[in-house]
Amino acid sequence: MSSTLKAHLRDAGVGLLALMLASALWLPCLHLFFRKPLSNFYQENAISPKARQLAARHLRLWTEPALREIELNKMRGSNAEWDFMGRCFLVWSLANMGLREPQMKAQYLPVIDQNIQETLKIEKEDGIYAFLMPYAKARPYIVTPARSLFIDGEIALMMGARRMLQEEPAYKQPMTERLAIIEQRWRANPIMAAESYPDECWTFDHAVALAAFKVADRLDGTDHSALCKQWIALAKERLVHKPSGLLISSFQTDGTALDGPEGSTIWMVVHCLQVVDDSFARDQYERARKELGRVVLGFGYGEEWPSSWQGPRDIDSGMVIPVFEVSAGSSGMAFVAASSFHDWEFLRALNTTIDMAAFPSRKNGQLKYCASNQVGDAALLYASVLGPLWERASKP
Amino acid sequence: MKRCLRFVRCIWNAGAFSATAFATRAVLITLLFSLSEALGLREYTTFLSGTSANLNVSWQTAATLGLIHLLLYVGFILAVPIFLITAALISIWNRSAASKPQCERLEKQSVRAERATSRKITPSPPFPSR
Repeated sequence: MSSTLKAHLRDAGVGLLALMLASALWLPCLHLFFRKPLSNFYQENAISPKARQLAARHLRLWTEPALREIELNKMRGSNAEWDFMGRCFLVWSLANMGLREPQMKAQYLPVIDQNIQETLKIEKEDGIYAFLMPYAKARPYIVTPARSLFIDGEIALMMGARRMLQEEPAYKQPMTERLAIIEQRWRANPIMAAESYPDECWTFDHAVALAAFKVADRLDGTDHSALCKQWIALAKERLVHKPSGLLISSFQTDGTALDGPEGSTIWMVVHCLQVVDDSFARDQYERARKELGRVVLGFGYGEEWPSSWQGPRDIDSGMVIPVFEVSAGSSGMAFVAASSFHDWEFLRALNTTIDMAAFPSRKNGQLKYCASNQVGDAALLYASVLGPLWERASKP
Repeated sequence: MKRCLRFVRCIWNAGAFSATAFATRAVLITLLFSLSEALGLREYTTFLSGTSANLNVSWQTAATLGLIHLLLYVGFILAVPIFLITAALISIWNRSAASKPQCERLEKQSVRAERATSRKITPSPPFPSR
């Protein structure tokens, strides 16, 4: 072997060894540059700085129609559902913020009302399809007239949240009517399933509806506890994915499973179930945390599918980064669940990830995540302020 | 100018696993990432959520711009520090490797010098007496 080749090989060996050593030194330290105290994201009795900045950005969107138009068009270009969900998360967030800081109610109530009224107007003018993905028109709904539990449940909860913050008689009847329709459809189906899309029922939407029933009971003195118990009993029997013990995401009206457990669904489901059946919700959260929640090198994230079930990548899962199986949809919704169940360690790790990987952009006291969109930011805002609404709804 | 050219030539000729090469890569990634930030490509990372940052350009173009920024950012937070640490480690290694033979050389020199001195000090044999 020539001496030059020998020298080259020695240099390469030293270089590679140094590279490995440097990686081993740097990778475990990386999270320290993004890790912030949890109080920066969530505070039990106040509004965190990040929540305030996220809210400032959303309030600006709702006070500057041109800006809102741009943001909503961007989202509607991909998914009309996101426009609707972004509205819901914002209303639920502002209701929680108002309950935390009653002196700010005057600022939040007009935005909440404007949001609800505009949503109702779009629904009235363009029908339910305005907020659904195009495939909703591909075939007829099994139960007529066509209604989507996705729309009815979330609007009912929007109205309920508004009324919890401050009673508004104009919302009482429409909320009661929507819930009555849901109840009627649940009772007419052997597994208490209502469609969100034609012959497609989503656990997410059923869980939101359950929470809306609970809020209605608190507001109007009604009692839907038997209905809710019955739904949960049926879900335990028919909608649980045996290998993981997690609730499946979607099913047909006859109970045939479509999508198995998914992170983008289960995290929100456990949050909504918490207000109806805390022990079942906690059990589901712990399973989801074990199956889908990950913390690697100080960074937290959510996987979309448990190891025992592999679903197709879709609009809900968002981008899934291979190897680590990081799902944008699951990680975003994991904030809501971790916050609900006071899983501070996981919440802090998730927050570290988002500050590292979601490209935060701060301007004039407003925060947005460039890698996210309006619905993603609204869900994060909700995770950073949730609590008071559920607390009130749970009170006897 | 000459100094600049010499510097570039030095970097160009540096071995792929040399400290200079790793440091140069780190600087290059930092420059490219700064350029991407200055051009506002950060906004295009919204493709990660399945949304287009700019409705006036095609989805593919927007996603490509976002991907470029994402890769540069990953390079900036992962590769740059790792390359700089690597460069530092290689420099330390080279310095210690270079100082080792030097030490040995110095030791040998001092031994030789000692011997030479001792030879000088050793009194020359007295003139043979007649």
